[in-house]
Amino acid sequence: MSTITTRDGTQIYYKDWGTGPVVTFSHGWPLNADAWDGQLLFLVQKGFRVVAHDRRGHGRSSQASSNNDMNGYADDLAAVIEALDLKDATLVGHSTGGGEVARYIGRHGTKRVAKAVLVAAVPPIMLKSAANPEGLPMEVFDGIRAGVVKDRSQFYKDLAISFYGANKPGAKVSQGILDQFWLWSMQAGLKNAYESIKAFSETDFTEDLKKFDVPTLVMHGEDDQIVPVKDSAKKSARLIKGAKEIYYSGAPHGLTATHQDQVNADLLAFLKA
Amino acid sequence: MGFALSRREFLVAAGLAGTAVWLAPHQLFAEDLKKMDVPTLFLHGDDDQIVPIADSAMLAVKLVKNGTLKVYKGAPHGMCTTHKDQVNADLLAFFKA
Repeated sequence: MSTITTRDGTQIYYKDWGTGPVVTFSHGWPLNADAWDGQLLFLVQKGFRVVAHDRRGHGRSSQASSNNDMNGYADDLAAVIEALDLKDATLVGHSTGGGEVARYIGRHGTKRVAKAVLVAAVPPIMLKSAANPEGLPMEVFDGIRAGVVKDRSQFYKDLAISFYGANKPGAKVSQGILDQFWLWSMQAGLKNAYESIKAFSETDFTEDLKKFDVPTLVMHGEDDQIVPVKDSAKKSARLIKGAKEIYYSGAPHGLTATHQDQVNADLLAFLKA
Repeated sequence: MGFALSRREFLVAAGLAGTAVWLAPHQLFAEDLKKMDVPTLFLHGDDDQIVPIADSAMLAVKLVKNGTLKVYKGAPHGMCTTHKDQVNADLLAFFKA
């Protein structure tokens, strides 16, 4: 297995396929890099080098006891980028991974970054507060925590349905897509997945987004039941200078799978622009 | 090959074939259990279909020096999942005692 070791001794698994301009991928909660396979193979075949890592505590990376927060995630992405000496990379992040990309730019700047893509991403901040009345109340995230603690296996099976919008009339989501969500989720450490809920819901990325100074694409499904588009992409796009926006009618949170061809074509066009 | 015996061959060789197989586990661990001289907690479901309680925890608790057996009524072998809250509370109480 290809891994790098971070300063706190955590082993981060990554895949590094192809040759050409570099694109890195940061996956969503509580999945792993395989969730990007539909994009990775496509882009390799189009002449790109793709690097996708498993977040600490997820997939094949160590189930670290500490630093399961956005700064830790961003620093792990930086560790991968530096270990592989990636330059002029386009950073793509989905959901929690979009937060990871935002915090990476906030903490580490864009010296090694050419472009950024936020897909169904959690910034600027999910949690409802006086300053963010459109956000989701803490009860939603407490419910996720309770579900994961009580019976994570069943919780992930249930979550897959709203994640991919399989509960919508006329939805065509294969059993295989739902099953792989469960498989990947079960690979995440319980402590890591639990602590990540706070990271993706309570981290305020406003200042990170203001630091974006590279061409940025924001993509989001208009029927996202996990990260509502009104309180995420639409706000992030206003904070990022010159952000390009693409909204997918009827698309769910897991649009990289359900709308793979469309997402891939738009990613490719943005990478080539 | 060599001197390796399968579990069944070993039990036959030791005269423990047939129903006596069920006595084997605690008999095989008996000497180890007798050496346990720290407070030891046994948690076991009385509806365990995999490791029957009568032939395991009930016997083992008598062999250790300072054992406590907590029987979970109706609990199966996978009790750490099915009776998670109860198991956690009992473990915590034991660690803190």
